[in-house]
Amino acid sequence: MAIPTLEQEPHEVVGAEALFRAHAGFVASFLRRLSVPEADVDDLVQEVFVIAHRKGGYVTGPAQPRTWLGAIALRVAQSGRRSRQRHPSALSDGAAPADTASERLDPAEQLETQRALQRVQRALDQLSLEHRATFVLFEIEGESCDNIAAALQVPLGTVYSRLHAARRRFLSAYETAEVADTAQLTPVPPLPHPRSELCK
Amino acid sequence: MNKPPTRLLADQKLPAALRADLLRVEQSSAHYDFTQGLARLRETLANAPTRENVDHDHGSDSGARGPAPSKPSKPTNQTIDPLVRADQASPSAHGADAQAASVSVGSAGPGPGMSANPAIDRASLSAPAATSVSTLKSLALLLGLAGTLGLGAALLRPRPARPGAETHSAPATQAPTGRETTTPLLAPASSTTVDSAAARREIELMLRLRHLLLTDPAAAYRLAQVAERQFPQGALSEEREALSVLALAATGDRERARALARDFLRQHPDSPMRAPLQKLVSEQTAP
Repeated sequence: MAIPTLEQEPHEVVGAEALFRAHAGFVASFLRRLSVPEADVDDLVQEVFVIAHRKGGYVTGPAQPRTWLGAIALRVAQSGRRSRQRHPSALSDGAAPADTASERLDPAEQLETQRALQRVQRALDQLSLEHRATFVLFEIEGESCDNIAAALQVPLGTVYSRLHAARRRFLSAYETAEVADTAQLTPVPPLPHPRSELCK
Repeated sequence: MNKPPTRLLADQKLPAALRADLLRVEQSSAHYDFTQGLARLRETLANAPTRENVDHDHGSDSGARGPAPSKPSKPTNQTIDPLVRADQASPSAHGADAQAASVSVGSAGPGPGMSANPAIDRASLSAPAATSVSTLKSLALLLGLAGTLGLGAALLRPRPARPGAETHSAPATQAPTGRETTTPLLAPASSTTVDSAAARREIELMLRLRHLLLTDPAAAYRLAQVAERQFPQGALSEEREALSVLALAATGDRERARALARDFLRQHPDSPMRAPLQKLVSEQTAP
């Protein structure tokens, strides 16, 4: 079973299992960045690849495998969100994004990465799902706008405008998140003792 | 807006803290239990037929949202078909069905082609798939972790050509390593993508081996054996052998580990891994 690459021959079909081998990590990560609750990530990753299977696998075309799967993941996440809104009891624990730096052995580095992930995630949470997907695919996953447009089946201009709006919102939200983070880390100076004020 | 935008990461006008955070996020790798996920997917796909007459569109999953194909007869173990949930946006998607799924997965054995030893599979396959810029991540890991091991030094040392060393392809159970098209990490510019991909896989395997050595030496030893089978002539085989000996010693079989360490030191007198192995051997001679 072929591992999908960008140099595929036209009309090559890549099955769900090969897609899973190559992109399961990406899909899990992408779903987390779409704020899918941690407890639901495994289930939704499965849904994405089963849908890919039912669609007959990935067929080479304008969209690359990652963005093609990303578009499916976006729809699955939207579906899951609607479901959770209808059934609040199905809400997950809302756990923070998983520690993705488990391989790093330096605790300070690990902590800083975790904080960065939390700051960025808090800012991402302020974006709509469509804007967030576009932002993540372009800014974090490094996909091209053409590729994103092909995968989401929207005009290129729509990707640009979504990206523009997403960036503006993200930068504002990140600034807030950073200020909050700094305030949390900065020790609060002790208040002057009331008696010392009275003695003056 | 006709001009393609520049990524925020490359925008020097933005605060350095923001770009640093984005870089960390980009280089981070999400944990995902690849082995369990693959076993679960295989089980599900065995019961989920490929959609017939599917339109291979790109981006929309509308093809999967049409009339539901005839479902296969439900297996007795209540394996769920997540597609039904996704296609129909079933309200119970995250309720009882999800629980049933987890039960089903829990009882699922390794799929065909997978190792019978779950510890090895977990160690070798649950290596997180790099989300992006795996080359940068590998370099960062190399600089950050491998320095203490001498891996970096070993990588920089010229090695004698070994037939088949660079073109070894990983077996089907090898974990994905991230973006498909990456700049070759270690190989010269003329080498093929297969070369760099194999080298990257070997490096990631070695980093995982190193990590396991600190947390689960038995699993590290088993992983070293897996690595030996996957990369018998790999560029890092010398370091793998040394780590294997250290893992064996850490499991308690120090006698055999000392014997292997002596062999290693004879064969590789200039190895950057000499110090810890020499220490292991000297334990025996110490009064």
